[in-house]
Amino acid sequence: MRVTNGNIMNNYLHNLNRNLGNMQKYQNQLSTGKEITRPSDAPFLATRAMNLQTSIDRNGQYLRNIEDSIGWMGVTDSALSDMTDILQRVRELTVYGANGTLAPDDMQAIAQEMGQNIEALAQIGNTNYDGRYVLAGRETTSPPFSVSGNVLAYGGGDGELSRELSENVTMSVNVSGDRITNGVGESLADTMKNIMDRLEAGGNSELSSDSIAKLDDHLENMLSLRAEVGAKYNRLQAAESKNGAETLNMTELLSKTEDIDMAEKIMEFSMMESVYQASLATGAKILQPTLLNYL
Amino acid sequence: MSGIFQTFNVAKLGMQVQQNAVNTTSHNISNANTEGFSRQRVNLQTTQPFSYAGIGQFGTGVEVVSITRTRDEFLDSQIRFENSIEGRYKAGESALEQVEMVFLEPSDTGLNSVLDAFWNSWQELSKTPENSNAKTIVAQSAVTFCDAANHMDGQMETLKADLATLQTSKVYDANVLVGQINDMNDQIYRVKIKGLEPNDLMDRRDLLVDRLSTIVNIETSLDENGSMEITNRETGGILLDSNPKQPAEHEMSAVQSVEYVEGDIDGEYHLTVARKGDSSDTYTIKTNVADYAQGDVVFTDPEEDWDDGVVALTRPDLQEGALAGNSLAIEDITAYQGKLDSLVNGIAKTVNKTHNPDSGEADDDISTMDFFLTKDGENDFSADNISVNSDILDDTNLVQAGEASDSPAGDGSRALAIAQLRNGRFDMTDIETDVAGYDAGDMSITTNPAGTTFDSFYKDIVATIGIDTQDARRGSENQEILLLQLNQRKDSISGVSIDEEVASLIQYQTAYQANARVMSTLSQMLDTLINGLRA
Repeated sequence: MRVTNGNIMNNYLHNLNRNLGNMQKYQNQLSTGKEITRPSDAPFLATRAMNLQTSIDRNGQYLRNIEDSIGWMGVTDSALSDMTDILQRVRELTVYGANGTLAPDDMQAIAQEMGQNIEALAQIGNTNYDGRYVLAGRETTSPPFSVSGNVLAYGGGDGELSRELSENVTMSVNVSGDRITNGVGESLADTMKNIMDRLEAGGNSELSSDSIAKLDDHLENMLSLRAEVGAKYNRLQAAESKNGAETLNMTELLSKTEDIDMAEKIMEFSMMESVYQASLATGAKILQPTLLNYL
Repeated sequence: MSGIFQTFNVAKLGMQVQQNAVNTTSHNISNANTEGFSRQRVNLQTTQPFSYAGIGQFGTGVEVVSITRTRDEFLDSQIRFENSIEGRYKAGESALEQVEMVFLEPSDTGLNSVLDAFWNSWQELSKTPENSNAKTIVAQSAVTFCDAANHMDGQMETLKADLATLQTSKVYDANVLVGQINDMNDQIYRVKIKGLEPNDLMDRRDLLVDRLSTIVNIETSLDENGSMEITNRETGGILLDSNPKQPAEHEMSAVQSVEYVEGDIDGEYHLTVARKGDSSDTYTIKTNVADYAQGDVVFTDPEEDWDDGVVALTRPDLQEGALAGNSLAIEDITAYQGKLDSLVNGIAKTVNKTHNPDSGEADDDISTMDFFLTKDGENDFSADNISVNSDILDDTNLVQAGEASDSPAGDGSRALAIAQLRNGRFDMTDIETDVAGYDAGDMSITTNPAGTTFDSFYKDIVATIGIDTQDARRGSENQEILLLQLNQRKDSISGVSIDEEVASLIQYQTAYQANARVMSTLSQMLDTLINGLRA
């Protein structure tokens, strides 16, 4: 093939330009730290990176949901635990009052302490988490329990508060107050009122024949509620660690997908740099001379 | 027997011819860097010999028969064909790279992350429905989503308008080139009929044709006078008649914009056409044919009267060349817009349905509780017209978090149902059918196994753009390399080699010197004859 000066020049310029383009590509990858900056660099990798980013972001949201739920459940559990303690104390006092051998003054003292316990039940029942009443069902904005004249009343709502823990997995995180007060045959409010009335009446055989059994039912109910909360708490913790593991995995995968291997890239870049310099050097030599230089 | 004076003539011819050859060599050297120049060579032959009875023929010297250019016409047509393929890819590449910039993925700022934030805001609201902050954040993240969609659509519209403008100027260039080639045809014809080779004129014409071939896919043929006819390869239509006085079969014009005017009896589609790509010479043409799009190239009869508003247009199906590239890019962008519209419509319709506590009830009063509204009152949402209900922006308490509008403050079940729409699969092209499957009881829309999630639908759009752009770039790089090789072959045939020319220069110079020496020898011979023979 006949070779002309224009030929050499065009070829040289094209190759030089291509080398410079490659340099720019590596330089861009090195300065962004990313293998791909546009979908067309590698459409499959780009959408996979986007998928992973979205999944990591969603997992972040689920983690916030789980953490919130764990906080909420913790508060609920300690409220239920406190209430159980009070009910135990109530049972002790009831057993004591059912003795039938106490003086009226002592009975009065028991009745007074019982009144305090009713107040305490309401106070604990109005426990809030982040400004929301945890035992109020969906009526989270107003205190659900109230006491007037030693009578406990539940004015909260019912229903569940659901959270999404991972894709399409939802869980109800609340125990509404009506499950505490109306969980078994006679409502807690009625049981407490009866005990109060019977104590004030100076001791009554029904304290032992009826009230203690009713209290035991409520304690039983309380225990099963706490067991439920405990189980959900465990489930939340399992979800949290699964979530963490998933995020870790996906972050690693994302990094493998879109991040450059610094050492490898720098090697490639310096190889390209030598090629570029070599092409410049040969260009300087090959472009100058013609036959004229030797005539 | 030849005389001394006869030999003088031989030497004189020799000197003249060598001088001519040096002139051509010099012409080659001076045009070594001229684009489109093909090296020329002087073709020599001996002059008519002189017969002398009994002896034979005496040579009478040398003459220049012709000066020709070295050119491979077959290579030319090959290069032109590849040029038009490159033109298509290059136009597509530069347009699609801009579309990539509109979508700006993968990044932390693209629509992907805006959608993430939108769905997350509903999750947060589902957890804290009593908190008015959460409702404000839902409303604001929805506004961000609408703004992003509006902005992306606007950018693509601008891009299409820019491409249509570019297309118009390309059509203008093509028409100018055709006009210039016509002028060259005329000049070449005038030289050719004198029996001469118009080398430089033909080089210039070939260069013009090369340029035209990047814009539109053409075939050329020469008539017996060396006049060139140009036809469009796809349609076979004649773009330039070989007779410079004869109008061609087609004239190229560009559709700048298309407007739909419903019920116009003259034609419901109003096209603004820039005649011959001249944007200062536009006409409104009414037609009932729906095929025309912004940036289309149309063919008309050059003798058409445009002023009466009735112009017979044909829409060539161009496949290669920059004109085809631009048209295809506009088509692609319109397709991306359509996909984005489907996504936006899908999100808006499902959110609206789920957001309204009365959906599916007897007193279904959708309008009062719509979360998204179209700006133009259309039924279908698009990236262009989606907006958040302004009532909600004025009073964020209208954001429905609970099952019923009078649900307790802590009820976030409806917000959760909306957040979970993200998990659902829907058919974006027929969202109405899916939305009709709304179950008011559990506030959910039955997921469609044949559909896709919003997230993956959006990623499909990005992947399509990525693949289209990659394809255009790969094609344009391949064409570049192919053309480089073809041009090298062309250059190896037609290009000027300085070394070669300098060598020829020395060759001709030496011959010139030798002829001069013959001349001086003859002169000495005459001197001998005239002065030496004195008595």
